[in-house]
Order: sequence, then structure tokens, then C-alpha cells
Amino acid sequence: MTTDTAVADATAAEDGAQPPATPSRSRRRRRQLWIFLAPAVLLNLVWGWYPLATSFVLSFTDARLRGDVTFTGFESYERMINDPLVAQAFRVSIIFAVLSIVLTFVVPILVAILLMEMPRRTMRWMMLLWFLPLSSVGTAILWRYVYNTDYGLLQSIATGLGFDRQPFLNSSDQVLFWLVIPGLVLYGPGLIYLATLQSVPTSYYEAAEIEGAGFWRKIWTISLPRMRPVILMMLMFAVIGNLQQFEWPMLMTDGGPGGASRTAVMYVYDILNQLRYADATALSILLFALIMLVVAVMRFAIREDPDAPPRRSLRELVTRKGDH
Amino acid sequence: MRIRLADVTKRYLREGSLRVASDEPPALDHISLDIADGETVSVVGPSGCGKSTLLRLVAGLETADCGTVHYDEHDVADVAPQDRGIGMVFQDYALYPTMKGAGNLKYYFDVHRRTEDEARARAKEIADIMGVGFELLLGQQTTTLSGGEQQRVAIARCIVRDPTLFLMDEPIVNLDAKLRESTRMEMAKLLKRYGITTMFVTHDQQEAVFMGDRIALMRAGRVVQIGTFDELYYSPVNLFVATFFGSRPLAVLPATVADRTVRFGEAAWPLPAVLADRLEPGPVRIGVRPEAWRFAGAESGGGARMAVDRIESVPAERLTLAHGTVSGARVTVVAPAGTAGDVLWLTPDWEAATFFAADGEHALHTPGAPEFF
Repeated sequence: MTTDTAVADATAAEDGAQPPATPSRSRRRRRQLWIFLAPAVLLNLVWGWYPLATSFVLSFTDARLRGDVTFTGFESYERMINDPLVAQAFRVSIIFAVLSIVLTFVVPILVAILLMEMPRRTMRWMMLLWFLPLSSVGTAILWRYVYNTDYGLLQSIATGLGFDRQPFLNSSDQVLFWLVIPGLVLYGPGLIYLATLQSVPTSYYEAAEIEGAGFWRKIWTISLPRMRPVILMMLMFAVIGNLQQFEWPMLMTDGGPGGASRTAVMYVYDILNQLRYADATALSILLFALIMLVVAVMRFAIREDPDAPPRRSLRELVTRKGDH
Repeated sequence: MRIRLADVTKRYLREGSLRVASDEPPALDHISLDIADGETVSVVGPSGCGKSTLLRLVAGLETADCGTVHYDEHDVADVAPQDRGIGMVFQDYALYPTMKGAGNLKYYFDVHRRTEDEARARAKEIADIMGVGFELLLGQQTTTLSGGEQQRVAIARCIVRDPTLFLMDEPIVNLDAKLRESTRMEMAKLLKRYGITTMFVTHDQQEAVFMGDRIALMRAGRVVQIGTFDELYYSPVNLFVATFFGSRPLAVLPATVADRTVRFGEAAWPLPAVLADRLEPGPVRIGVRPEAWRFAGAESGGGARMAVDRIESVPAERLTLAHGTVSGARVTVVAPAGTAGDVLWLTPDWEAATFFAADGEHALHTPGAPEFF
């Protein structure tokens, strides 16, 4: 009931001194609160927490499609940890995430900053080009043709430039690199960066201009600091998303060659297809643990800088609203 | 530093069109201004009149389509904003994010590769000038400061590098009323101390009067009139200027001049000789300020009959105001204390009345500032 009282307190603070609500009124408020919360709570329980809890339970059993289910303790976990393919899949996922962040994460930030420098009209057209919400399945299939070793676009460019014939996705050493590259043209985050930049008042840049700051200094002292929280959030999302990468390798290489691009989630999928539910859930839980660990480490590592203003609680924000 | 603008015109490109839309009025329309060294000029006018554009143009953040801007004897058309030696204070303060107050003051010295010592010495100097508690603000992250505190830092950032021209764009409009009062007092003190030429943009007439040695009143991209408050108040060039100043509305009475008398509704008054000689017979409009009426007592026949709607007393100013109509025109008058009743008999004080053309808004006769001021 803590949320409930917090909300009540916040509204009380907002309204100033108010006679204490009568019991019937507060009961009605509470009922209203639950009516509004119900849809979200139900959906979350059914599609979020129920599967999570069940998989957690299943991972300690020998669940199969039919037959009795018996509790087997850590057997599935043991099996999974000793499975060499699991180690490989985790390695692939981690390398994929690192490569993708190193190679593609900065690009939309730069694009957004540069777009802001362009004339309005140009910017609008470029936005349309860069940030068009492309279907990633369609794009993936197109890229499969680009990478085709016999008649692909990239192969003809490579041979045209006088290189040897390239293996691209067929090389187990290069496959992850080539899988990450298409991420360069999918600019979902770019739009968010652009929106952040557009919310910076022009007077900031004008003040800096009057003081003689050049282009890069303005970026460094105004644009980037304003984007910082958004960048950190997008980084978190990128790490989480990439560690769960599934559809690109699935569509472009089907995990090949020889499992060199089989990510952790793909392996979960493979095991599920073999109807080994216990193993699949155990592997999912392992991946879940890894992601939680990475997120925790990131939260710890990228603390807000010590100079940053102290975080304000909701109640503080509400009560301070008046004195601007 | 003396600032001179000669015939400056500026049009904005309309959003999405490549050509200048010729039917759109220019943001600045043939503006000429001459600001003396050390003078503070308030630029005031309704929103959208071009006052901020004017300021930004003087700063070099906008370029004029035609006309020239001179700083002393130099045409600054090709001088970048950072080389003009200006300090600008913005409406939203525009303090650099993620920097403490001190960092904001140091920014200029960083950009210009001056020494750390110089920056620190200057900041110290400014902190002494800015007064009590200012040094505390420098140690804080700017986002944690209140509006008034941010504004003080913004002003300090502006004076820390010894500008030769201050440009202020509604610097205190975002503060609450009490703080606005004390801040403008502080700013006026600073401006006096430094004697730097200043342009102060505001939409608040009181602020304009308080801050400015002279006031430039703008409308639709033009400077309608520039002068001291007395000049604008007692010798307005047109009805717009006359109605803009004064916290209580000017009464505008449509009247007719004929045979050295002026006729308004049922009332008629012989005109004083000075006015009678000057005014052509025909329709005019008379502007009378609330304090420029004479009362002929409650007896009928003494002037124009005012139907009183409401008597308002303003204790803080020891005033009694009567609101009502005279022959259909809305009138507010400063009435003697204790006035009551539904009817007042009024006569304009001809020495303080302004005459405007009936068909235009230009002034035909203005009273000029009273002698005893």
C-alpha cells in the first residue's frame, strides 16, 4: 500500500493544507486507483511475470511435452553449463553485442548532431531517409542478397576493386562483423537524439557563440551534456537488446557457418524445437542472469557524475513546483 | 560605445519557402536608432513587434537585409558576434548545462585560452560586485539554482569579460513580481556603476521606464517613438504611444472642433486660445488621462455628464477611481476622495489633453511635460 499513500501524500501537498479525506472518499480514491491500474497489472502478470515464474520453476524439472514432471534440481543447469554449444552461443552473443555497440552505437548520435546543423528543409528530407521505420525482416533479407557470395552487391564491389573473392557470411571469423554492419542504417535511436537536440533552447548556442565558442566546443559543452542521459539510456537498451539478438542471425545465416553466429537466444530456440523445455528454460534463466549482471555493472559504472544535481523525489518536485 | 542603426530592414524567410514572401511585413522596417555612449535604452512594445529581433541584430546573431549598424565609427556588418565585445543576457538565462556557476563564468576565458589565474581573479572581482551570497552560487550546479539565482549568474557571466555593450532580452520576465523588483533595482545599480551602453528589451512598460534613460517604443517592426518617459507620456506622436503608457486607460473622446469651441456629445467647451488657434475645425479625438479631469461638482450643466459604473478605491496609492461612460466613450477618472453617486460632471484639463486626428492616429496637439516636473 506504499504507492497508494505516496500518491495521496503528493496530491495533498499539491493542494496545500486540506482537511483529511473522509474514509469513504479515500476508499473511493483507492478503488479508482485500482481500476486504472488493473489493465496494466493484469497484462504484466499474464505475459510477463507468469512466464518468468513458470520458466523458473520449469528449469528445475524435467518437463517435456507429455508425461510426468519431476523435480530434478540443478540437473538442467548442469547439462547446459557443460554443453559446449552453450558456451559458444554466449560467446557469440557477447561478441555480437560488443561489436554492435562499438561499430554502430555512436553513428546515430553523430548523424543527429550533424543533421541539426543542416538547413531545415534538408534536415526534414534527411530525417525521412535516415529514420524511416524500415521493416527489419525485409531489410535483413535484402542484406542477405547484398552479402551473397556469388552475385551479391558487395562481392561485385570487392572483385571490381581487385580484391579476391570474399566469403562474407560464410566465414566463421567474419560473420559477426558483417551481421553487425546493417545496424548502421537502422537509426531508431537517431530520432530520439534529434528530438533531444531540438529541445535545447537556441539561446544556449547563441550565448556560447557570443563568447566565441566554435562548433566543436558548442557540441561538447551544450549538445552532448544535454543528450547525456538519453545516450546512457539508449546504451542500456542497446546492450540489453543486442545480448538477446535473434532475428538478424536467424534470417541471414541461421546461426551458421557451424554455429559461428548462433546466439544464445537462437540456441534457446533450437532447444525448444527439440521440445527440451527444461533445458530451454534453464538456458533462458542463465541469459537473464547474465543480462541482469551486465545491467547492474553498467548502472554501477556509469553513475551520474558527482557534480550532477541531487535526484529529487516526486514529493519534492510537487512541493517545489511553486517557487520558480 | 555609441551604437547607431541606419535604416535597418530585416525580413524573415517564411518557413518552407525559398523566396521572401513580399506580402509579409518585415520583422524590422527601416529602423534608425542612435544610442549614446553609456546610455541605457529600453526597447519596449507588444509581443511580435520585432524588439528581440532588433537586439539580436545588434548582437550580430541576425544579419540585416539592408541598412547599417555602427559601433562607434565601425560598421560591424562583417564582425562576428564574439568579436563585438558584447555581453548578452537571455530570457531563459541560457546557462551552460552540467557546469557550476563558476564554470559558466570561466567559459569565456577557456574559449579564449586565457590563464586560469586571470579567470579566477575576474570571477572573484565580479563576485564582490554582485554582492552577498554570490560566491555560494558559483559553487553550485546551475540547474539547482532558482530562477533569480540563475539570472544573477547569467548577468555575472555577462560582465565578467568587460563588455562594451550590454544586450538584455527580457532578462527578468521569468521571475516572480517581488524578485523582479529587487533584481531590476540591482541591475540598474550595476548599469550605473559600469556606465556601459545598454539595450534593454522588455514588454513591460514599468520596467522600460525604470531601466531606460530613453525608451524606444516599437510596433510592427518600426520604432514609433523614442525619447524620455516624459516625452512619450506628455508628447506622444500618436494614439498608440499615448495608450501604451500609463497603468490606467486613457479616455479617447470623439469630438468636433468648430467656432473655437469643442463639442463632445451634449457637452461643449470653449477652447483655450492656444488650442483654438492651432486646431482646424472638424472632427478630432481627444485623449484625456484619468488624472487630467476637472470636476464641476454634482450640479448639472458643468461639463460632460459621466454615468458612473463603479467607484474603486486604491488604498495603496490613496486614490479613488471612477469608471463609467461619457456619451458612450469609456472613461476612467481620478476622483476626489469620498466621491459617491451615479453621476459626475467633468471637464478635461485642456493643459493636459492630447488631440488626435479623427481619421488617423497621429497627434494634432500634445500638452508637453508640465512645468513643475
